[in-house]
Amino acid sequence: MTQKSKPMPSAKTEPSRWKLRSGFVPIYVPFLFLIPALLLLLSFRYIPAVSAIFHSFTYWNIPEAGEFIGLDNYRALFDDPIFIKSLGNILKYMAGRTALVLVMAFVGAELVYNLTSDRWRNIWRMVFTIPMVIPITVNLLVWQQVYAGRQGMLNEFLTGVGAMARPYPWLGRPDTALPALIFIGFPAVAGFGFLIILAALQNLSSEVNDAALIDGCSRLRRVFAIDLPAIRGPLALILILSLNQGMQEFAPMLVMTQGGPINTTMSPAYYLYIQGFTYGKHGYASAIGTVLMLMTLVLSIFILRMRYRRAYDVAV
Amino acid sequence: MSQSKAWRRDWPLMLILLILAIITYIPFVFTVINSFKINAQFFQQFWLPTTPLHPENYVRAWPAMGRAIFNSFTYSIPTLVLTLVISGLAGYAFARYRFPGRNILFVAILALIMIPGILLVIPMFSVIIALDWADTLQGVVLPWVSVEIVFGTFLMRTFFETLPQEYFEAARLDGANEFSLLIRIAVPLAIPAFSTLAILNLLFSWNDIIWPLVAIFDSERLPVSIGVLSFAGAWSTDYGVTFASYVIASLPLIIIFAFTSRRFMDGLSGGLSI
Amino acid sequence: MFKKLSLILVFALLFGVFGMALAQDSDISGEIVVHLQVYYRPEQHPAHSAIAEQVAQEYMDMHPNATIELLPDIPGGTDYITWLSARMAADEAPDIVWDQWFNRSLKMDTWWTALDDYFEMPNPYIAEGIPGHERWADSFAPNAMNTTRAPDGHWYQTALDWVETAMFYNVAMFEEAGVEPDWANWGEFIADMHTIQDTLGVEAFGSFMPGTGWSTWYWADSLWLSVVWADRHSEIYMDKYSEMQPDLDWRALNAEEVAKAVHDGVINAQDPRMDEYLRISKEFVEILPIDYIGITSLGDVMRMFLGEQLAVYWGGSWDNKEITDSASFEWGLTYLPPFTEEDFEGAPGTIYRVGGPSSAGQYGIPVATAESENLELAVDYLMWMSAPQNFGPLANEFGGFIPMVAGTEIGPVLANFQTVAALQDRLFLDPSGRLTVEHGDNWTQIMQGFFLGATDEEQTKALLQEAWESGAAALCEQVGYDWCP
Repeated sequence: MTQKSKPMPSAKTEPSRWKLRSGFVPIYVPFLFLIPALLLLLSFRYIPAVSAIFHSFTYWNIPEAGEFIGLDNYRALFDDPIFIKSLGNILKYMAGRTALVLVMAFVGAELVYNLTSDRWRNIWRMVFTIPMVIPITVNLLVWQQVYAGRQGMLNEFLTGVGAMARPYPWLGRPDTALPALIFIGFPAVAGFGFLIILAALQNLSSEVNDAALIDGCSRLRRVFAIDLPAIRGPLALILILSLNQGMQEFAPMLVMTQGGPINTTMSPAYYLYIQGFTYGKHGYASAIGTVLMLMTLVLSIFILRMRYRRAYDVAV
Repeated sequence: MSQSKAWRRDWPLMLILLILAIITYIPFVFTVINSFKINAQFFQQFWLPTTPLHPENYVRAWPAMGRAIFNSFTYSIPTLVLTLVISGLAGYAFARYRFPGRNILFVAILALIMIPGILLVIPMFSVIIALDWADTLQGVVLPWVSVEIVFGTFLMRTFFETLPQEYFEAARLDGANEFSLLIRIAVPLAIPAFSTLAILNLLFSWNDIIWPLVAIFDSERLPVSIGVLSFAGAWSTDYGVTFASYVIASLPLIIIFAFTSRRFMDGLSGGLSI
Repeated sequence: MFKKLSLILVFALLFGVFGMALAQDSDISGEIVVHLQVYYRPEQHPAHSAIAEQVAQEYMDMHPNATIELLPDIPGGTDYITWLSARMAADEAPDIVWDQWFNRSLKMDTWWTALDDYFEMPNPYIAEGIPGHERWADSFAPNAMNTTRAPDGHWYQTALDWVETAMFYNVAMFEEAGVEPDWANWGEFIADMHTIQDTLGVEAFGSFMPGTGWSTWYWADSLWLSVVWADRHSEIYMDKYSEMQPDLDWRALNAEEVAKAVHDGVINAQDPRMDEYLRISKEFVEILPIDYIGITSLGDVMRMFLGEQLAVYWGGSWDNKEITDSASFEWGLTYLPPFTEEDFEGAPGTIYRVGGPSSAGQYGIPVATAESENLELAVDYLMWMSAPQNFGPLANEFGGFIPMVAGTEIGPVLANFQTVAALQDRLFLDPSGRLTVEHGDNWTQIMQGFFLGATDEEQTKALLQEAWESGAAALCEQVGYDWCP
């Protein structure tokens, strides 16, 4: 990150400005506003989550109540080669997927942002918003055919242009299965990340941009020198959301590979699902879920730390 | 800047965007093409259109899908309204007031994003059963709202923080109380943010499969996400009708998107950040 | 129309015969929810769903205080096991509900009511002279009963129907390659499949092997194990199971028998038989589509066949209809070749059928129902529904599965599968039903490692032995047999 970045516009509203003089507002007012949210979260998030964490210390054969077994599930878990392998897999998947989504969303947003015509800017924005309605199931079905064997689209293309002598089973080999899952939905422009970045770019003061252009700063240089530092906040948000999603990913694994070949696409969330629902080991599955939660938490804190180490704008 | 000059400047960008858009839209086009095929045609040709077209797939899909779309609205609208209200209140409280435990509470709520959804299916269902809410509207809606208000609170807080303090000060001098400040000043200004949240909320409740599958017992009341699978079976699948179902299922969302796209973007224009 | 009329006639007749006897039993009361899987999907399959409704209506007419609510099947492609698990966790499952037999064997008495005692009782709805009238169990096919027996020795479900498998082949492709769909031994078969691959440039044999879960590779694997261990079957059989099925001198192994044979060292991965097993397994995957490991559903394999990209499709009786409707080419049915002395020393000289009760007629009663006052009604309705005059028309109208209840007339589906059905059953069942479901996935992953060259023969055998031992240990821990260490 460059040092010359300025606080972004949204950052000018520091929380401290909101502080009300003490005694001005009765102390219970904010809590009154929070009651509905807290009530719901308590019933449907915190209590179930605590129940899941509690059951991670039990041998839980539903519908029977769990039998307390201390740390046995956790001990077994860190001895379980498939679980260990799934952790490595998901780190790779998460890193690859996040990089792809972040870069492509940024590229897409920059392309649209740099258009001179307002009308076209709106049209392209719309074009990359609509695909958000495509259900994940349809996307996966299509990509299965892209990666398929002899008649797969990718193979036909690559053998057709002579890049490969014979078709390759992308999802059926340990070296390519995970990368293939990462590239599902390529070019991955359309999505929430694209919209957030585009909005953030449009927020940038146009004077700074014009000044930069007049100074003879090339468009490409401006992207890196001005845009990128200025949208650090939105990027960090997308990063966290995307890492979160990556960490919990299991639909692509379930539909495309079922964890194969030789567990190279086994993800912790898919393993949780198999252990819980397929094998009926719900206590063990709860332990996987608890570890997964802790890992996501640590990762998110790490990212926030990185983000705020040298930043001087809003604090969460 | 004149039209032609703009065009000269923009065309390389437009070309790249066009290529990206074409690849992005392949699944979409593919779904529409295959919705006009019968199985025999689908097996022979996966990617391209075949003749004769079979528009009757839509006729077959409609009864189940019409009902499912209606059902989905009965779940999604209450989910939407409650999510907006509750996230609005909570986001406002975090943005406007400093109170003891504010930061801890906010982090505690935000941390809920990190829970793997599949982990909570059984514990959440147990809560629903304990409340005797199986197969009820609230049994579907309230758990959905509880998932959505986490991000909603974050989004609304970010938005409310961008509102200038002066607006509120002026009204307060007029003797407005805290609640009317929210209703009269904050809410009207927050319409764009609410519409962003509304769209995201709709996308979520429209596509979630697992929770309605578990929580709804009456098959006549299943939502769109499950309705699209009506013609997929464990033993055989009617592909054309299934794709027609997908097309029908996404139409309401596309229409809503098309009409609210501008507002949706405005809601993000405050700069969603962390 | 005629079908319906004749059905009503049958009902009227039966009613006349049993009406008197049944009238005395009309005090049965309660309300149950019944889930029949694909046999009740009124929107997608109105024809046979109407029969299911009619069967329920007849019952309610007979027992005015009883209410039978048929639950339409949840859409395919949704997550059945999650649906059922949540309901089981909350004691909210239907009172009669479908599940796969190997999943039932996994849950046993934590989810399901043992039906052994009821199987010994007379089924009043079965006419005199038809097996089952005096003892309900006699109404079911012995091999289906054998397969669905849980590792703890109990029966938790009925096995009313059966799927049969066979190989659908593309006649033109076979002719073009100069191959006959009839082989004297395994070696010939493999050679012909390679001929198809080499001369036509299409995929030869349709089977697949995802990272976890069921696949048609399971079928193949169970056959190869059965073939190499066939000569030792009598040593693996345990008396307590043989006595229960005295008319079967060849039958599939119960999970306990596999576990005990592993424990006793009768079956062992270091045995030379396993060299043959590994060789055959490897020869088999070489004739599969190049992405056999990347395919996750049988439907995708069938699509390759119907899209004329695949010469042979190994499918089941339920595929008959789709292939008849959608194939734009001439096709035929055949089956795998026998394994003879030409293939390896001690080969059994035959091949086994792959069929099993993995169909829709697999119903059990959850423990929650057993603890309620509805148990009697649930059992009685299961008896009523499984009677041949009720189940037969339902199964034959659907046409995907073979009704296995004594006294049912078998529909046209089986005709196509006659040759296969005449073969003997496998000795070893699918990997998921052999010991535990987890063992099945474990076995798959080890074999994938072998096929992809990650492990050699020796390493693979060591891993397989470990998998057998841990599977047996898991079963011992769960059931606690008297021979367990």
